[in-house]
Amino acid sequence: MTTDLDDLFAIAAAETTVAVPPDALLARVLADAVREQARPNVAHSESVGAAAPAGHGFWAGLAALFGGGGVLAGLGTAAVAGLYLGFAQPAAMGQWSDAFLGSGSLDSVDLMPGVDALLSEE
Amino acid sequence: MARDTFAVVADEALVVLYANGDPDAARVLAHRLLPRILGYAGRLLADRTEAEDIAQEAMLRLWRVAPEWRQGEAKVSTWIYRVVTNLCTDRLRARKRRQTDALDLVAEPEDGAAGVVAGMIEANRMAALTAALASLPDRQREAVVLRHIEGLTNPEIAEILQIGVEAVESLTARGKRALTAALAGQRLALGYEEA
Repeated sequence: MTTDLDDLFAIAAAETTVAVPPDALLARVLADAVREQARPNVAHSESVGAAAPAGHGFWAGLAALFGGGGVLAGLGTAAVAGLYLGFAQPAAMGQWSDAFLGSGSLDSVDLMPGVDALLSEE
Repeated sequence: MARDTFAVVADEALVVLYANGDPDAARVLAHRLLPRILGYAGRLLADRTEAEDIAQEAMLRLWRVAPEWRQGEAKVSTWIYRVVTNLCTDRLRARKRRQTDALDLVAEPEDGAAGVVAGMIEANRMAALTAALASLPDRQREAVVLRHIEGLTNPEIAEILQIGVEAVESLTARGKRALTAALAGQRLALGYEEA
């Protein structure tokens, strides 16, 4: 029966190959195409689609603001590393900062020395 | 782009052309894809009118997804077969909910076909195949039609049905066995010689 079944498949495949869609169906499909082409490009989420639409949510907008997802990821990583170093204060970091700032105690740093003069003039 | 140059343009590029406003790309895509998806939907549903609805809906989804189409991620043919498969599955479920499953709808031509053998052998054979296909579980029917009638490869079918290649091989093998059993009693009526 396998041969007979293959024969039936061959007949069905030949029918599919030479099939011409009805003019009315073709007209409906092309009318849909013209209507959709005229619409502005908006995101359509297709539950059965293979082409995943690009993200349009909060994170996608934030990533675009910073110049891409990679940049945003880098900034996030740096922020997390900074928080960790601030809380953990590893000994190696202390040695490193001493090398730059000196090992003596640092009570205060005047970041805007000119402001005192301005204030005193008032 | 000139119409005659479309013959060598891939489906994926045509989708992008359509999204970019090319007036002829849709016509070429429709002529390429409609016969295939119409035939495929017809085999799954055993109903020409419903198959036309499904084909139109699948093409509409293609037009809508075109602006976001990413070349290289999926073949248009594979994508649209998957859309048609899912739409047909939904349609068959709705049909079963209405207590009119596919087997009931095609049973009559099968019975009639046995009685009008002379002069209509090919039509009878197709009616018998349609009836036998309708008796298969949905996934077996989809796999068998895609493999043996649409002529797709097992990896392509695996992508369409979103299953593994081994599962496709198993489905098509079981489907062919079931079809063979379903058609075994009709060999003479269908014009085949007795084994």
